[in-house]
Amino acid sequence: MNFRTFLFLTFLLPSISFGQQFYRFRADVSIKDKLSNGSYRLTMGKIYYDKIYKKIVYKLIFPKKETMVVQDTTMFSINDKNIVTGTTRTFLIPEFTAFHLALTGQLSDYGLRPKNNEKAIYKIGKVEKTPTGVITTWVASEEQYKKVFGNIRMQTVNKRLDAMVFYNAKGVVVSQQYFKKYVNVKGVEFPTEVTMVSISEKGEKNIQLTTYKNVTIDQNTEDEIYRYKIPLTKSAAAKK
Amino acid sequence: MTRILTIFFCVCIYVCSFAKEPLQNEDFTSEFKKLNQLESIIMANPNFTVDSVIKEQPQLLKDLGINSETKSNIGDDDPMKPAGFPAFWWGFCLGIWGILIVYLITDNNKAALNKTVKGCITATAIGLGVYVIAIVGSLIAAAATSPY
Repeated sequence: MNFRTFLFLTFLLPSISFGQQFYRFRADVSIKDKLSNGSYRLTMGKIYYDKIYKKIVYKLIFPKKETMVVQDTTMFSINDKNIVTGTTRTFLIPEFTAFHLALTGQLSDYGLRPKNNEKAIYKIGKVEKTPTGVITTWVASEEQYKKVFGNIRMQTVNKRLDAMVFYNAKGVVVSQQYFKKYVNVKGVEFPTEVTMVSISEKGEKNIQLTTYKNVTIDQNTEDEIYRYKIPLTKSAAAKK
Repeated sequence: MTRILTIFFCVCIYVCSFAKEPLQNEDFTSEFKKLNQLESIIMANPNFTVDSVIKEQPQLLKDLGINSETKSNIGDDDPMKPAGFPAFWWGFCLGIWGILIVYLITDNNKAALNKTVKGCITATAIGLGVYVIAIVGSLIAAAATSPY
C-alpha cells in the first residue's frame, strides 16, 4: 500500500461512506384514525417527498382519488382532472416529518438537536439508561420558552427512536408517539409503523396509526411527481 | 396502627403498578379491527372510493362513521391550537406578532383569533399593572425618604 492509498483509505473513504446523502422517499401509506367521538377515518395512497423541493405529495386512492401537495404552510387538494379543489393552511412542516428526519439521519433525536449556528429551543435535561432503552428528557432551553413548551421524553432502543411523549407546560401528557417495525432501505432506517395518540385538555384521545409499505429511497423515476407543479386552474369552491 | 399502615402501603404499591409509563406502547390492534377490514377491501380493489364501498359494505361504513362526505385525514390541525400551542398563549407571549401568526396559520379563524387577542390583552394588562405598581412604589419610597 503506497502513501496515497493509505491517505485515501484513512481520510477520504470514511467521509464518502458516512457522508452519503439521501434525498428522496416514496412509500405506500395507510393512515387510520380512531377519533374521540367514536368515528373512524382511513386514508390510503402513496407518499412522495424530495428534501430538495421540500414538497410532500400524497397521491391518494381513498377516501377519494386526489392529490394533496404540502408546500410551505399550504396544502393544496387537486382532483383527478388536475383542478385545485381546495387550499388550506397546515402546520405539516416537511422538516419535522419522519421521512425528512430519516433521510437526513436525524430521526434518532427527532431533529431536536440544533444544527450549527441554530438557536436551540430544547436542550437535554436528563439521560437515563433503563432495561427497555435510553430515555432522554428534553427541556425548553430558556425560561421564556418554558411558559409554552413542555418537556419531551424520548426513548431510543439500539440507537433507533422508539417512543416520544410530549408534555404541556403544566407537565400533562398531550401526545404520545411510537415508532415501530423499522426497515433499512439503502442504509436509511425507517419505522414502518408510527402510532400517535393525541390527548385533549378534557382527556379525550385520538389515535392515529400510520403504516408505510414498499419504502423506496432515492427513486430516479416519477420526477414530475416529486417536483409537482400546482395547477393554475381552481374550482369554484376553491376560489371562495 | 402498624398493621393498618402496612396494608395501606401495600394497597398504594398495588395501585401504582397500574400507572402506565407513557413511553410504553399500548396495544391498539383491537381499536383498528374494522378499519383493517376496510383497508383489505381497498387493497383488493384500488379503484374503490367511499361511494363504491357504501354500495358494497353499507353496514361496515356505518359502523365506522364514514360517509361520502368524509375527507382524508392529512394535514389536520386544531385551529384552537395553531402549531400545537393554545391560541391564548400565542397572544400572551408574542403580543401583536402572535395575533398575526395565528391569523395566518388558521386562515382567519375567528374563535382562535379571539383567544389570541384575549391573551395579548391579558399580557398587556399584567405589564401595565406591574408598571403602575412600580411607579406608585417608587413614588411612595421617594415620599418616605423626602426631608419635606
